[in-house]
Amino acid sequence: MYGDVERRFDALLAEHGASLGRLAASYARAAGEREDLFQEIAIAIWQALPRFRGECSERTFLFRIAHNRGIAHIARRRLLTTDIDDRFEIEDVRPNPEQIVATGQQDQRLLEAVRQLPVAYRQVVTLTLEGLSYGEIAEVLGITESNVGARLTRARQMLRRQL
Amino acid sequence: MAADDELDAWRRQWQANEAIPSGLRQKVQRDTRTMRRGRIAEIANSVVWCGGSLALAIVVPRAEIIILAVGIWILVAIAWVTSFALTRGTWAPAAATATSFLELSILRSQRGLQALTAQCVLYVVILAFDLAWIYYFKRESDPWTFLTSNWMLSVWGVSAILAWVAVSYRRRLRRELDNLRALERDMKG
Repeated sequence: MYGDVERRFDALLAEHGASLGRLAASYARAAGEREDLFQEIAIAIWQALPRFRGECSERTFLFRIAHNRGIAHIARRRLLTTDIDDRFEIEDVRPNPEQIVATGQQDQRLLEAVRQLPVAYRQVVTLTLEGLSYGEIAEVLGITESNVGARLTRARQMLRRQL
Repeated sequence: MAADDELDAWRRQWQANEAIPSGLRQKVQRDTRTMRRGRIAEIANSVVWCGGSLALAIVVPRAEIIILAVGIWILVAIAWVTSFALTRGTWAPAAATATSFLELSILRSQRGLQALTAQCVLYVVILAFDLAWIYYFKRESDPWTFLTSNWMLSVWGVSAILAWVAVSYRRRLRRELDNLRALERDMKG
């Protein structure tokens, strides 16, 4: 039993580790903080895995846990204080030129822009960018598909302004 | 850009992001700053030498001064061509991925070793040109006495110190390159 869980856990992390790493990066900027959050997500998955009965896809299951950990992380850092509509006017907090030159690519700018989004929009965007369907995103976040669409539309407007 | 193309482009950029070890990212950023400072120093150096020699040739238009100015301009041009060739493609990683950061660091180390060799060769050429110029235009003694004069002994002394620094730096670069290649092997499993 323990061996089965371990094998499933290893397989899941091998398959989705990069996605979970990117998701952690959208919640935590500093490298150390990101690694801590990734570890927290991995531990939460490990603990929840024996109770997973296949009610949803593995990917949905993983991302739901990861987002819950991400939210908990933000809450701990007391950043989750403003309503999403209050934050529609996003300040222009782009990565510093040093960072852009060093990483050299748009990828880092996109990650920085995603980090600037209000959490509710950030969740929808990160899941969309990971390739989840509206239905899967709705399932992960516990919202309706039309709500997913509405949030994504606004999130994309914000990203366009940021990029 | 059409809406779906935009989303697809973002998705590709997003999924290119993988965890980059913080030490590697910091090293690339540090090296980029060093390269930028080096380029500024090269520009300042070129302005001083080319500008100075040109000004001197204008003020004192004698044959030996013009030869000196032309020599300096040619050497500076060679230095710039070498510098451009050795820094081409090393300013930024191809993508924001750990693999690209590592490849860039390895490439920079390799180019660093080549640059060191080029600098040593250039130093010898510049020294030979300067000594030849001084000997032919300011000659006051036979070659042996000239090469063993007190001020020439100080030139040999400085050259020996620079050679020692170059050898030490080369060892450091080789160690760094070996470490980066070991990391590359680890990452590829």
